[in-house]
Amino acid sequence: MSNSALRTDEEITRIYKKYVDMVYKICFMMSKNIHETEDATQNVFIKLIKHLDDFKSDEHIKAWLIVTAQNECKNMLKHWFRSKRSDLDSVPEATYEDKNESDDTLEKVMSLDDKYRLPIYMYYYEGYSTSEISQILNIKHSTLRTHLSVGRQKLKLMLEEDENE
Amino acid sequence: MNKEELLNCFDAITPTDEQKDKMLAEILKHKEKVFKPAKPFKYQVAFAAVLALGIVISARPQLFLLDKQKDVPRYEVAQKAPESVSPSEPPAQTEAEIPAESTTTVLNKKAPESSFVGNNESDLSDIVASTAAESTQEEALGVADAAENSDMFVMATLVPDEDLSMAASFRMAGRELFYDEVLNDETYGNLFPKKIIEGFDFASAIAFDNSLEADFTGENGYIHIRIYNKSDAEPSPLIITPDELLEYEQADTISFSISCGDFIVYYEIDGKNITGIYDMVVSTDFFNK
Repeated sequence: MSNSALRTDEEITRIYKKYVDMVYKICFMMSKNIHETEDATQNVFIKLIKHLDDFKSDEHIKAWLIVTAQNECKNMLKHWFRSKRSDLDSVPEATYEDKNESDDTLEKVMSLDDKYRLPIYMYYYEGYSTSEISQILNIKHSTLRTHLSVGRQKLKLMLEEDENE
Repeated sequence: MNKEELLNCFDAITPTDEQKDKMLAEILKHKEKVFKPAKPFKYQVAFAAVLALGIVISARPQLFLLDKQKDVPRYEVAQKAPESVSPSEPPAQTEAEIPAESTTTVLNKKAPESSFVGNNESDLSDIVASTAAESTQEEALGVADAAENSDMFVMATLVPDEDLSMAASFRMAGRELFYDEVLNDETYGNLFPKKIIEGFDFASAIAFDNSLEADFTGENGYIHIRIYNKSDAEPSPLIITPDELLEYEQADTISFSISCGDFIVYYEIDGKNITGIYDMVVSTDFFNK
């Protein structure tokens, strides 16, 4: 692959600066580990370098990055269970708790299943509609709506339990 | 929990600027490291190297031959004797094993005083000696052909041994002649017919130390004439007079000898033209004298 066929550094830098936070958030929600998140984020943008198809718009790039980040994290998690890269006892755990120990809300959100967590993020934070999310994540619209509803209820219950305690 | 709290929750998941710069640097570094620009030059060098190797191999293939022949010194290959034609013969000899005398002894066999060679005897001995010195193993075994440009050669014949295997043996040194030279030979020339049977052409003539042979070929057969000393006649040939030829009228192949002074003239004729044969025999100077 010739260098000319790749995306230029300027183009990569522009896209990176615009969407790195989003990709990082998705990867973090999927992996729940800072180091894995950094690796996954880098891999997503490296794939963007090799992805030679023209994007129609920035929204197209954004959707592509969401799907790629999700798939990258899924692959990484599969690989994580298969390989023993280090002894877990010897490495201090680096999870979202390190990120913000005082944020209970984040902890509750991260305790949700993946199938609820990512739609909630995309719906409330990224502002996608349910139809758009169903298209991006390639799941049925009704199923997505159910996931959103169940996720909200579970989150509400967890917060109410904390208040009662 | 309201929506704002949820958004603040997601906002908390944000990489620091240091993390962002570090990841971007890694991404760009990876791009430069892994996706190196193609270097056609290195392929050109490899192609040129392969091409040069091909040229060298085609020009000097012996440099890359890996068979056993490469390990054999060239002088041994060149001097290796041909395989013996007889199982009873000793295995192929090298030049060093063959005494040089065996060649010169045969080739320098002295001709009788009455040899037709006459004044050429000394020349013949010189040529034979030099030929023996330069002769290859094939020549030593008598398998050499008469070179087109050389009128000297070694006559070799294959004769059956007692066990019916074939073995090469020397006959003697010979010299090819034209028929004019045959007729002009001081010793034997006047014994050859001046007139050959119609339909036959001169094929070849060979002068040996003590004999002279000539062959004629035609559509209907061949004629072989050999003149040699009576002392070399062994066993005694069937000697007839020219007039007795007519008795062979019905024969297809006629072979007979005619005594002419100190020489025997041997005829071997394949053909039925007895009259022509008679005319040819009596046309020789010897009989005409």
